[in-house]
Amino acid sequence: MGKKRNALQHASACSCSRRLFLKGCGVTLTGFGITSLFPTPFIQEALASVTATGDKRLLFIFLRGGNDGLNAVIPHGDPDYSAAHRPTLFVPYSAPYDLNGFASLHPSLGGLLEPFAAGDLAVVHRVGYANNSRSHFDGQRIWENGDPTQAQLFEGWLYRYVHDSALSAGVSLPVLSVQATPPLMLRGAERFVNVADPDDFSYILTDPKLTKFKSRWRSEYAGLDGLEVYRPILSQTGVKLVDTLDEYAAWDQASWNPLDPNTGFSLFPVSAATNQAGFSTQSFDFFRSVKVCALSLLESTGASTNGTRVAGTQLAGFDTHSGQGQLTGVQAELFSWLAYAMKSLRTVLSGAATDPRGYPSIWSNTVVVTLSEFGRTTIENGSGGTDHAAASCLFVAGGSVNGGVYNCDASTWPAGVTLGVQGRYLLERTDYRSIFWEILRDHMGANPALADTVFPGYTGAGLGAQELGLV
Amino acid sequence: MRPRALLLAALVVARASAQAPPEVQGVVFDEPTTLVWAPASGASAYDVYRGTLADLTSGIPGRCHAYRVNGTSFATPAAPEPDAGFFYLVTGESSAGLEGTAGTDSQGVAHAVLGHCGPLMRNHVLDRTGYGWSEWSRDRVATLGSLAAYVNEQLDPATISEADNTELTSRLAAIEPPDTATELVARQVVGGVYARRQLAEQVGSFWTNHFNTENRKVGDQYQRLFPPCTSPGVPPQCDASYPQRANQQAALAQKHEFDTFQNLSFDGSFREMLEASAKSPAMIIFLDTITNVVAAPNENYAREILELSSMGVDGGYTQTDVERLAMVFTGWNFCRKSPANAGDPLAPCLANYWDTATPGAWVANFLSNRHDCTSKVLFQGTPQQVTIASTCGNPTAQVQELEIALDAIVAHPSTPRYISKKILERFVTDSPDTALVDALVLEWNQSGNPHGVGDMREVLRAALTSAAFLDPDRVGSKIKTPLEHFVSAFRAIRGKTNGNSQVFNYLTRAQYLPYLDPVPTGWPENGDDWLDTNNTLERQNFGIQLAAATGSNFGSDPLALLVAHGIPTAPGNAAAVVDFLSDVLFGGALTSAERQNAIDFLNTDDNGNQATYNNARIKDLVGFLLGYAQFQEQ
Repeated sequence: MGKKRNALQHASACSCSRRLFLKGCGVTLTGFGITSLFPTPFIQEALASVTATGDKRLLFIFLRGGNDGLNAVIPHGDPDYSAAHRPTLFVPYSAPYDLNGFASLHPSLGGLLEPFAAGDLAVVHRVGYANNSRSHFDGQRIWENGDPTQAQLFEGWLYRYVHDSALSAGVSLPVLSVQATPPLMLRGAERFVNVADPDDFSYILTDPKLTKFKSRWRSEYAGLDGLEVYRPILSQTGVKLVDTLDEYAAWDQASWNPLDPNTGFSLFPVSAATNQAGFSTQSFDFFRSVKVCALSLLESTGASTNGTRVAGTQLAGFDTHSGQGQLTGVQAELFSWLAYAMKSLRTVLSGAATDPRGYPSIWSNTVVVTLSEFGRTTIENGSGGTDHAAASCLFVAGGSVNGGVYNCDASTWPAGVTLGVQGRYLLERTDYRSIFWEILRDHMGANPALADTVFPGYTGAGLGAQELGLV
Repeated sequence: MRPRALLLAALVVARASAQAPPEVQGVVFDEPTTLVWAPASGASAYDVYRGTLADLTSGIPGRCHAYRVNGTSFATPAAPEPDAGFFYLVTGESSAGLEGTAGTDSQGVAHAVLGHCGPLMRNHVLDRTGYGWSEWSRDRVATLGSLAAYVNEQLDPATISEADNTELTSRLAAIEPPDTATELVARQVVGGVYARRQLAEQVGSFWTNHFNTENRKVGDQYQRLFPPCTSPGVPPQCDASYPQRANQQAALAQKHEFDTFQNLSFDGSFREMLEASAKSPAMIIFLDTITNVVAAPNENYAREILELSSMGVDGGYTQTDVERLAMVFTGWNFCRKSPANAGDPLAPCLANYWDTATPGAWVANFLSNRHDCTSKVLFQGTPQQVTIASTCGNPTAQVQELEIALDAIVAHPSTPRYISKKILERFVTDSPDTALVDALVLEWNQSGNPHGVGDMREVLRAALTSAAFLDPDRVGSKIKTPLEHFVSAFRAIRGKTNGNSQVFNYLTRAQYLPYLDPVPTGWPENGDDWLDTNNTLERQNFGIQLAAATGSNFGSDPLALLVAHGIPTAPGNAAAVVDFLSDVLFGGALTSAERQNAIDFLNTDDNGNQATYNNARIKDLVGFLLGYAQFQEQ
């Protein structure tokens, strides 16, 4: 790992006075001044020149709380998935949702059947990592930092990929997260733009005063000096904010309302007026976030030097210790939002939406992936819910994805795995790092030599052997 | 290598002052790392400033490096990089806290420093022990004569009178009792802005966040107890004002948590806090204890009390411990009991709980028939192993299981370490080192403290009197949470707030709402989590809006603040205005470029042309300065 990244990955990495902090972590003000970061971005790793990321794009949706994968992609072929183990949660088999004669989707995920039938959706089960601590916070951090041996590492694997591939070199908005606070997956020494409320990402001033404040604040943040540990991050954040607002405003996300060509419904229900599909109002924030992620990728053409290549958001509420629900309920409702969003993404990113803006298809260059920190107990608890467990499922969609069901058929789901960890949890078959590294390498075009940088220990652990050929 | 000290000596200003000491003379290294100087007349202590030689060449002044050093030497621990060096300046301070000159260079130009130690450390302590600079707090520090005395007083809030603090009492009276999450948040905002007991406000907020519960889930449960009426009085427990009445109960449960934790912080132990949290109806609801029953345990609370409330995720417990602890908590619930029965989990609940004419309180309750009474072993195979024998047929012993389990958790060495570290992260540094944690743990284990082992006030005192807390090198090394940021802005510019309206909206957009965080961990303390484009945007927008607003429920009066301190608001005083605001907001620590940026801001119109400023421009300037990076730091 590079020195400069190490120095700033997390303040707690160095517990010493600020002088020692800088000294111990290898940064000197003279050698690597804060102000030298601007306007040019970080000096990128030498490896970067090897790879061309071209026109490829990645969109992620983190399902926070630990998604109960057994009720999402349901292993009906395994008698251990049973009403005996899940008295109130068991979802009976239903033929329309059958995927391969062994696995079927929760009916609220029915929106995924269309991309699945088109061969654009990989449904991957039994994904996790060994010796999961079953803590949300460790679990999310490990899924995001890409290193199960370092639960306290505050640097994302996606960050390392972006940074080390020079995806951000000279690009003003290479990466965008649309959620409350930036996901760890995208955190590192170089800071990217995070939008919490897409409708409210602007200063409350108007010109000419706006320009006065912006230019003077930019100069204040760009010139920020000093040894205080957060100065580099403050500086980058303040400058990026000013530099991004105009571009973001130019997207005019508020007025963008692509429609489903078949139903005429809005693809992203963000208000009562766009909610023909009839979701609860609580869904609007999620759909708005997904919409802006999609727009950022559409606004980014292959020729653009300012294009967003990686965008992501989250959907929270999967920590269903109680009242999880069966065909209806908390989890089912979240599933319905997720499925609608993923179906909408395929429509809009493939140029099929009814949309006066007429964005061309980028579907074959895009992968949409979900992730969640762990699955939940195979056996229902006494609260009509499930507790923290181990492996779960995830979805990978895109025009170049090798669609199908992975790790959920008779050959990959032998008897016993549903209770395979401590007699209570689903046993993982594929390490999450294998999934994401093959997506980065085979889809994004990451330099294969970066494997152990993005996911420390990847080669040594033989994780390549677990890859599934998803793209 | 031997550090080179560039000794900035200058001619003595031959002016005997009864106030500030003269320039300090004879600054040299007599050991490789010990700086010595000659006594300056009238100096009772000395401030040491330091910078790198490269900074000096670039015109960057020295920074406060040691505050109020007693005697005439200072051992500076850090050696410079090879081929680099430090320069030092030393000034004297009188017993009244007046700082002497830093001297002049050979051209007669006064030596600059980047923020004088006095105001810098004053703001540091006010930021960390409370919600930042205010006129009252500043004056209190001056009255008491030292930061240590101020901290000591804050650690004993009962000695600080709020009786004549009418802004606080009248605004709180308008909120009490809180009926909603919004009003709970408003309590914290109003308390933070107006209370003199600043540390008590910080501490209450800290522990409430540590033992986080979430209002919506708690409210949902109370709504089940107060269903809507199908017809008047049917069912009997129904409420015509559903769901307001239920939400009131939820808000009261969370208010009770804040008040309890705040009191125990100064008059109690961690063991008492943990039990208060475990038996709080809000926590019993939030982490599913109410549905944790024999034969089908729910692990939610068992896991989080270990991971989040006490031992930390690496504290050494196992999944087996989580499962066993979940068994201990089976059967616990909550209900409304008569005042006489409130402390007895086995006492009967009020059957007509919905009748508020009957005195009562919502408290923990225990149902023996839902409890798993089989024997349990916690921390099996470790030195902390505790065996709970079978309690079948003995409800009193079943209730005792919780006490035994909490004793075991608190006695586990991971607990004082984890909690001490978290206290240090809030008040001292985002990255406490082992020695610092050790020092707090040592204090934690003093059985002679008033509340014995785990006396929370004494542990906090150890943090706030540590050398690390008063280390000038740590000034600005933490990032304010959005709540701290907004509240400190109010305090700095004579802000007014009822705690609701705009400030709630800004807290929402900055992603910080106490009582409304659905994630059990509570909001993070680490600065990294509060530094992103959205947060900076909202903080800057807030500053603009607050500086311009004049309302009594959301407004400020920076002009009156300036006038009250003898700073003319008439044109031609740009430097004086900026310097005063810099002292208030940043402890004076602005570089010359940053200071000039502000002066130029004042002297230019919206189109960037030189123009005489007016009061509106001064307010713009205040908003502009509230958006500086330094105001995000603490």
